[in-house]
Amino acid sequence: VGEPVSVSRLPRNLSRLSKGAEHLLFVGPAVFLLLAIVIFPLVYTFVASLYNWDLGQMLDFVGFGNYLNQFRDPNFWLAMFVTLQMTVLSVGLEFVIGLGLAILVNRELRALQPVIRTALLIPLFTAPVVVGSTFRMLLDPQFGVLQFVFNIRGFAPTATDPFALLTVVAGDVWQWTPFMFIIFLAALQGVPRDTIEAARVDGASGWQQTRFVLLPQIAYAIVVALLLRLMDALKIFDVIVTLTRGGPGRSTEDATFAIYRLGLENFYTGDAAAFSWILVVILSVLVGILFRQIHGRYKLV
Amino acid sequence: MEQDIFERILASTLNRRQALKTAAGAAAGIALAACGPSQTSGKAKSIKLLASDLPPFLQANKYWANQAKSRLGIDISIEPQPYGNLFAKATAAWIAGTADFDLIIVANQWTGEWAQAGLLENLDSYVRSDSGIKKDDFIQRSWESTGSWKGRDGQQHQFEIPFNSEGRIRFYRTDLFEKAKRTVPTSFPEYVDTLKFFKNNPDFPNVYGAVEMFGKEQGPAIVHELYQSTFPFDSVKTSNGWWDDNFQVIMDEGLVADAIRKINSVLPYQPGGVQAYNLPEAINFFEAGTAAMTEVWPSVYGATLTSGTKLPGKVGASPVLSATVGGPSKPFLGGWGMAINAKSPSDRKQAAWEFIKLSTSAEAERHDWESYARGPSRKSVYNDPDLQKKSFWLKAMGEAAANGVNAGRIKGMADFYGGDFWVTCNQGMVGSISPEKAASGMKKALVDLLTKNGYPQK
Repeated sequence: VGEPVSVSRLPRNLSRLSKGAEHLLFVGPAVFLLLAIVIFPLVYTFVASLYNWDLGQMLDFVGFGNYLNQFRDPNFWLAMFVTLQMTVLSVGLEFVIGLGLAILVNRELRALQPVIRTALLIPLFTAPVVVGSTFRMLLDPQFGVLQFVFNIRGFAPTATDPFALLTVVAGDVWQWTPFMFIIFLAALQGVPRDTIEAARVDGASGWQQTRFVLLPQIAYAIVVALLLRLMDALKIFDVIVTLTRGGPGRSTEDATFAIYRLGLENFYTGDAAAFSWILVVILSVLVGILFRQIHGRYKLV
Repeated sequence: MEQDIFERILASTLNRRQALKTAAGAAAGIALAACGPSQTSGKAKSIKLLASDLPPFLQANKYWANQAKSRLGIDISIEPQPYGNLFAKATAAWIAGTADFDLIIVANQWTGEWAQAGLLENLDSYVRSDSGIKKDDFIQRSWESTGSWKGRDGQQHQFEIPFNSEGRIRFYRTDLFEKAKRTVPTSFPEYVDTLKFFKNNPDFPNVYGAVEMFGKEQGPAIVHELYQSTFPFDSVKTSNGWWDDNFQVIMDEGLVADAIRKINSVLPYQPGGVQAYNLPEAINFFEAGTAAMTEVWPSVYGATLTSGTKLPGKVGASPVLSATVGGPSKPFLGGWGMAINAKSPSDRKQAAWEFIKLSTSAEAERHDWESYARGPSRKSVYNDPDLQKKSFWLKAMGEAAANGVNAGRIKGMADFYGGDFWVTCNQGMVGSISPEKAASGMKKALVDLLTKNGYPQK
């Protein structure tokens, strides 16, 4: 542990800076980075969304025409619906499995905690592209491992409705359930044991202990975990690209993939920018509502 | 107007880079002049080719790059890209001003997009002044539909030299059909009978009647073929059945829905997972000996036949299916050419042209056919009886090239293939939406596509 640095030991020139300059020195780089990599792209994308762009050509100003085009396009709504399905299924399953595992490990398998925790961390260290590719290899209708294990000829969930969407969800659940598990386990370990003991002495069943004693005490962790996963699950991309490429048909084409196809495969920059902004607004509203709820109830932020 | 803006965007990027390059070049030139003999030459010594990674194409490019080194003294570095990435990669590089390639392999559907934006070099003067290209030997349709496009002056110009022109054909297992004492189907109703015959037939265990490409990338081509086979070409001036010669949408929704319904109805007779099959999957399945037929691009399966098939002597070739018994077979046509990046310096363009001449020559096409089965685009190769004897599918390819129907030629063809039109068709094929809904979605997508690309609909 080092000795704390006193102001008197700062370089002479730095200590002479005015308060304002000092603030600028510390905050400036962060502000510059924020402007360069967040604000500028957002503004640039908004400008692009107001023009008819095609193959790098800024053709003409169309106002909010690109936005209206999106709302009129049934494929836009389909992509939003696919996004909703994926998000609800992924986050829901991750929550249920993660919480269940955390309660089980906390209550019954305390001795095995370090092993289980380490093993469950592995998916978190895996890149989503690798998850998608691995699932594709596992489920390939010709050479997939599952074909051999279960000896089912032509078993091809990635190519059929509605299983293709479920395989994308499965990939996401496999990767992100451990995230929920780790957060819930940490929260559960912070719950005082005497509250559980007291409930047990009062005759509460296992379910009642969990429902009325344990869960309310880790509610803040649940909300934070759900919020973080929700923001991420709304933009699943890598797994879709490597596993199904949005197919069959459009069965797994979520909003992010649809934007990618519009902007980077067909080069309709204006349409893609408008779609992106619609998604940004929806996400911001959703996250804003959730934050407001959390803030009101748990005084977290 | 729109072209001017694009040119300005490109020019602003290029001018800065070129100014720097020119300054650096001038400094280097002065240094060289001061230190030694002059190094002037009208032709660069090394250039770059942005290529496709399709095996027969890439193998041919590599072979002729070696030949160019020894015959012309030009080093060709090759950057291969998967078919699915090539268009996006090149376009993004042009837009960003980082297109460092001098030569590019161009699928015929991309020509309009790039030529109209001024990104491909107009080759008219090269062709006019260089008889070495032997223009008359190319199949006329290939020369026109693969390589030419209306330039900014409204006139037709040559932007690519074709090196591949082919229509899809059907490969089948001669031994299985002989054993079954059946003829190879040429129409859709006969095809359905064949599929039913092979389905769970104890005499042919584990053999499907066919494996087709239902995947998003290739699948809709088969709908195109069935539709074109029934389209009344006599009633309207059109070359493709999707829009007329005035670029007005004439797609017949009923016929398209019928074509989609047909292909969707045979899904139960195909192997599991076929909804995601594109070229590699269909060819692997056929090569594994578990399907009696498959319809693919002949250059791609031809490469397997040439380099070492697992089914030697057991494969035959036939035309693609007509929609009705006795109806016409209308194979889906494709083609590739080689073009010069209009933004390359002139000495590199000259070297690029030398390479194009070499690698698209009759000698090259013959060599590439015999070595890698890369489909030719020259009459002298297609019609060579010796080659037809050696490669049984060359004749079927020639017929397909003669009878086939191109998807059409507009500026937005890249979007036609990967955008809403194509994907909506695929949704119908795999049963995600009804054939009627798919056909109506395709028509809407087609109207949008033409309107967006500067072909207003009345």
